[in-house]
Amino acid sequence: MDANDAPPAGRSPELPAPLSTLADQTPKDRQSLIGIVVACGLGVVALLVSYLLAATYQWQEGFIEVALQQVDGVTLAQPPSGIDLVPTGTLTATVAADALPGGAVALVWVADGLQTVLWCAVVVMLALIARNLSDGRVFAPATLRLVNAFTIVVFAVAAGPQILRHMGTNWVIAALGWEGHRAPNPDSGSAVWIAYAAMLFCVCMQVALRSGARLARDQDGII
Amino acid sequence: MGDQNDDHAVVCRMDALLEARGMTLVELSERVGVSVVNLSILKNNRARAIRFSTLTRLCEALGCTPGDLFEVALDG
Repeated sequence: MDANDAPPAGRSPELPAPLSTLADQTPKDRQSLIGIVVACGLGVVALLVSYLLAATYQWQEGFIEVALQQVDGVTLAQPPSGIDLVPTGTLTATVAADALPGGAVALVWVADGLQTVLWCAVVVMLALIARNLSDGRVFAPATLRLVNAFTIVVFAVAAGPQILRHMGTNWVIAALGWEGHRAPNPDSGSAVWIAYAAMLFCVCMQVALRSGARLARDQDGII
Repeated sequence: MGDQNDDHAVVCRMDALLEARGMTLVELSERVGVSVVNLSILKNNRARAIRFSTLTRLCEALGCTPGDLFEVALDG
């Protein structure tokens, strides 16, 4: 490399010229990245703090929280207007942990913990994907691998904790003495469907990135 | 991302042309509108292809033909 070859700042003149002609990061990209990293960091902290506060409170007070569907005999405080309010849908109830089998309590607590950890992983992986995108490595193999891993984690968020919580809640229902058709069902909530939609979106992104990577390979190195 | 082992024998003679015209790579970059980094890739024979538009501007800036800028170095 001679004197005419002004290397970019920070790059050693002994190194060969970079092969990729696609990466083109601007200062605006870097600023966006800082914003994303800060937002993701705050998200992880908020997730962990809210989980730790709730878990500590439940642990100290000795109860677990379960979501149930179709509970008979539940009464609601009626409004002053006199119009009847009939409870439907989900009931979130607290149950004393001492009165329940240890396995049921453990399943519910592990589900809560696992869900928090997986959501943190989702946020961290989003930050890593954003870093790759802002570095101009949209179609790099590392980005594709990250999106693959991200899809798996999103699927795990949708399925893993819900399965454990479902099992734990069923165990709690049985331990409380409910049997047969009168027993309430565990409630999975709408989070599963949101995560499912997110997972489908991730799969679409994977397909788009794979196609884009092929196009990028064709374009890379063209001056 | 790029394939470093492209099976070609095209050699860029930009060095000699720049020297003959007393021009620096930075000046050429400004005239052609291609970054110094990409011109360096081309000059060091690490590019995989060149667009006709870039080739046209390079030939205009250097006052040469594509044949002056590139040669095929075949063995034997």
